[in-house]
Amino acid sequence: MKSTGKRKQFWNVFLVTGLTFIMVTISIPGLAGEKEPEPIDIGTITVMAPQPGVEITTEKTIINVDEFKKPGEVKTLTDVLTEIGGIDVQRANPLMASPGDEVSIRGLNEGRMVIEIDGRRINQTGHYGRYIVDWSTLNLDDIERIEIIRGGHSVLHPFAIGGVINMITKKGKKTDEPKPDVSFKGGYGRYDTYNVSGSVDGGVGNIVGYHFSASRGDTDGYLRNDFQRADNLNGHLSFFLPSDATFTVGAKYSDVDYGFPVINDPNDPDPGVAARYDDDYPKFKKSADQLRHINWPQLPTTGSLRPEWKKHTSYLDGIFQMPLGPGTVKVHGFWTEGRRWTSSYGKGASMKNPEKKFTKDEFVDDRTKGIICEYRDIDLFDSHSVTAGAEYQELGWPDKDPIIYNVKSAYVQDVIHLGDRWTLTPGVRYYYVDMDVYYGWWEMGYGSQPPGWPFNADNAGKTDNDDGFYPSLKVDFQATPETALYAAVSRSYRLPCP
Amino acid sequence: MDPESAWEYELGIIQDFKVFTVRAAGWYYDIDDFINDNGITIPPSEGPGAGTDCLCNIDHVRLYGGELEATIKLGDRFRATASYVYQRHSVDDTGYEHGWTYYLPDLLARNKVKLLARYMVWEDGWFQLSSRYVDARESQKGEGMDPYITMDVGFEQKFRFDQMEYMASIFCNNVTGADYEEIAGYDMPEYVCGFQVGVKF
Repeated sequence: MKSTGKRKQFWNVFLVTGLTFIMVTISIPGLAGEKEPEPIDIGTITVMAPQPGVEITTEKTIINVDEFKKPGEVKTLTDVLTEIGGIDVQRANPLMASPGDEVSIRGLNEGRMVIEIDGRRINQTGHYGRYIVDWSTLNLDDIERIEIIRGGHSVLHPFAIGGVINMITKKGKKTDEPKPDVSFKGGYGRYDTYNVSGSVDGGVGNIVGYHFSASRGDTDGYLRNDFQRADNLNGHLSFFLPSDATFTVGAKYSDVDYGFPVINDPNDPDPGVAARYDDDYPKFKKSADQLRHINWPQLPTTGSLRPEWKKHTSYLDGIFQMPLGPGTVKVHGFWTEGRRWTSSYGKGASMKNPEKKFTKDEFVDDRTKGIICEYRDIDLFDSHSVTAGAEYQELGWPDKDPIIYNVKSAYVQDVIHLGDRWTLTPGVRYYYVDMDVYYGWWEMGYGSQPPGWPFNADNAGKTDNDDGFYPSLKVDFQATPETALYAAVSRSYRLPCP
Repeated sequence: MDPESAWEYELGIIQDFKVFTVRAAGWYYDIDDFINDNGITIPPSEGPGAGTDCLCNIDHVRLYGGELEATIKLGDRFRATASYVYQRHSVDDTGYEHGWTYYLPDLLARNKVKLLARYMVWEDGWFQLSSRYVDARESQKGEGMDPYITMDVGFEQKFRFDQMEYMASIFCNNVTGADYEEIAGYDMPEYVCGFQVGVKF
């Protein structure tokens, strides 16, 4: 990266420090304002309430999306995560959440940490471009709160190394008030960036709750061809049944059209590329770091040779919950489907004959589906709260290999209160994974990658399996009403994907 | 390739000093058979920016660091959160190292600071400030990337009329015009200004 200059750095530090200092010094206690959460002691857990809509405990950070505020738009998950301590968000395009973004907790990105909707994992297999989480599809239109768990210390969340980000959806209300809550929002900003959204949230006769929302975001982008349009539809219906049971169905759908940044360099060694330099856009060189899903530099062509992808993503969920005995039964079925059509240049593309290395609308899909059966929060002996469950997941590429990974796992966790001060949380999760894996073509004696490898070549693949127990233990100690201490140790397992 | 697993250790504390509250945590992860995604860069002889799909196991990758998060509240007008993160990693040799080998944690800074603050200028009118400092780190091709500081500011006003709640806000991101990149080669824009309006009923 080019040097930004010490003077500009100094100026930035000066401005940040100065503005903060001014705000602190002119703050006068006692003036009336909107009611905001304060640091509170709830039983044995000390809670930090740093901002409206944010609570931090020893276990997790909880963000209430409707209350969370920052300068600028709060439209997608990464808009929130950029502001949270300990989370790295590296953006290719800061104007909208992009498929090229990278999010990490403690140095580990979405290939290791887990992203969830209502407690179920949405990470894909990473086949065809290591594409595991599409941040552009995770709009917050229907999200009530976000929970961030640092570390893989909870056995309730599978395959978590580094942490968990769990988005809890709005599911409608149990109410006999016929008037729903309705909201509309819109905004416009530089680089022709705009967004519009609307939502309706309510219930009918204490029997059905509903939440529906829709939004569109659009930007020309900052870099050349870095445009993006995202349309989102979300719907949730909750049925309030006898015996305090609920059945909820939910759907999130996004349609993203996204342009790959193209080379914009007057000194590019390809004279055809250099001749197409457009000084309306910043320089973008082919030596730039490669995004996870774009292996090769993209040429500055338009029309039918425009590098881009179109992607349709659906997140479908059905959740049944019912109090039963000392605990609550939960059955959660889920389905994630991604379908993308990629138009891009491959290795060795040149403006002399750009069509030769251009692939138009190459189709790839991915699907994750599964079911979680859980008996949770089972109160035993006044001091134990036990959760036990089992999960089945299939992850694959429907068009080529529908089940790349078949995962069966079971888990149990006990939250043990020892007096008023100590809490122990032991747990263990067992995994059994069947997987399709592939040899490298070089391992099989080929001089170069054969056509159709690995699906249409002999001796390309094999099956494998793996299993094991992965324990965790967390100890919380409330030393004083103002001081909470904790220690945790766990062994975590990662789905062996890219 | 072998599956990957990790031992994770963590110690932490939350201390409430009434006016401000602090969270501190230290962590150490020892990842066995780390599946290294080194599949984006390949030798320069293949051409700049060329890619491949190489994955390999590394016996041990260790990540460790500390987090410090502090919140302050002064009256009903001012709230701020500041966080500092220090992180490092070490990687066992595999014998496959080349000059173009890189590891994903290399691309993240050792030192990072975030600040998010709000000040109520008048009733339901909030000035907001967000700032981030990101220390030097590497690009995929091993070149150093400079540290940067960015600052975003905004103002939001809410008001109620005829049982409806209205909201209007303006913002300017990267208000100091910092020249920076979060991913090497991807310039970030300066002075990204805009507005938002909304209504609830």
